[in-house]
Amino acid sequence: MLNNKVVIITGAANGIGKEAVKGFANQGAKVALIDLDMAALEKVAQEFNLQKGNYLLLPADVTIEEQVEQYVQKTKDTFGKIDVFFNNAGVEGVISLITEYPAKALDSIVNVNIKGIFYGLKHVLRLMAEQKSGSIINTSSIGGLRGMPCTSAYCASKYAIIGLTKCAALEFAGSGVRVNAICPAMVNTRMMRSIEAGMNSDDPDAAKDQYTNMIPVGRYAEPDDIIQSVLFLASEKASFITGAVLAVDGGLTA
Amino acid sequence: MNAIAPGYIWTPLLLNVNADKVKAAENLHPIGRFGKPEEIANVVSFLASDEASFIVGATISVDGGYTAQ
Repeated sequence: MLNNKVVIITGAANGIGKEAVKGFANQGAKVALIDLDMAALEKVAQEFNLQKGNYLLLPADVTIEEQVEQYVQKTKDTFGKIDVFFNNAGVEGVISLITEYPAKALDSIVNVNIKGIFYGLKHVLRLMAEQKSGSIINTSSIGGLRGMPCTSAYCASKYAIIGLTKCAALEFAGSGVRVNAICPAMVNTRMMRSIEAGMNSDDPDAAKDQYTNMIPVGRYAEPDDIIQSVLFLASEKASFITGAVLAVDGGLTA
Repeated sequence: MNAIAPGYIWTPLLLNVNADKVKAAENLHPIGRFGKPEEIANVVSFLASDEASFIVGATISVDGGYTAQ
């Protein structure tokens, strides 16, 4: 379905970004992996036995616009086009009441989750608009649909991603480019371990149980649960879906 | 159990509607056209599959950007 498509994945070293590398590569796509650390990217390429010529490792800081411009340009120079952009890199910040929320954590969230997503859209869309084709999936969250105590900056950023998604979708709807957002519920990754420990440092498992109870299907998502929806939105089967928000959340926001 | 929210789709339901009204409705879709039946079928097929097993109680807009506005 996605054979020979060129896919950029940010946050590719861990979590759902890493699972996306596997998912897209298995469908025959050429993948450009973006994350901060080259060693971590090499590990992913090795782990999934990516074939030479079919992947590109591009360490970059998504908060620095020139570096975003570069990862887009290098992907285009190597593979000639960009068909799919999984605009996924994100951080969770700290668990804290808004009244105590540290400025440094707020800055980090604004820089990675809002500006990083924004710069990615800005530079990838320039190319996709010229091509008159492309599919972009932004990673928002259930935190972009509902408030969750002690995650104010994170939720603000995930709501922002939905706004960016809709604006970008409307700007380029007539140009053959689609822009959508996914809203995962809690996924079984390092990010949730960090949030669970932030919620209950003495007993993070108790926090995990509490979060699990919020999900009607009774379990966290596995990264693959999320990636199946990303693969679908990336494909031509989703050709009439743009500006949409897909909750992949086991019923949590229902 | 999920819902899809289609935009206007080219089906026989539209055959008795005046051409100018059809054009006006088409223009309401940012993508610039109505959807085709297969574009809805593809989403239904996905939601019915195991690949969508973690999507529960969701509503997905399949509307060429109509409700993004």
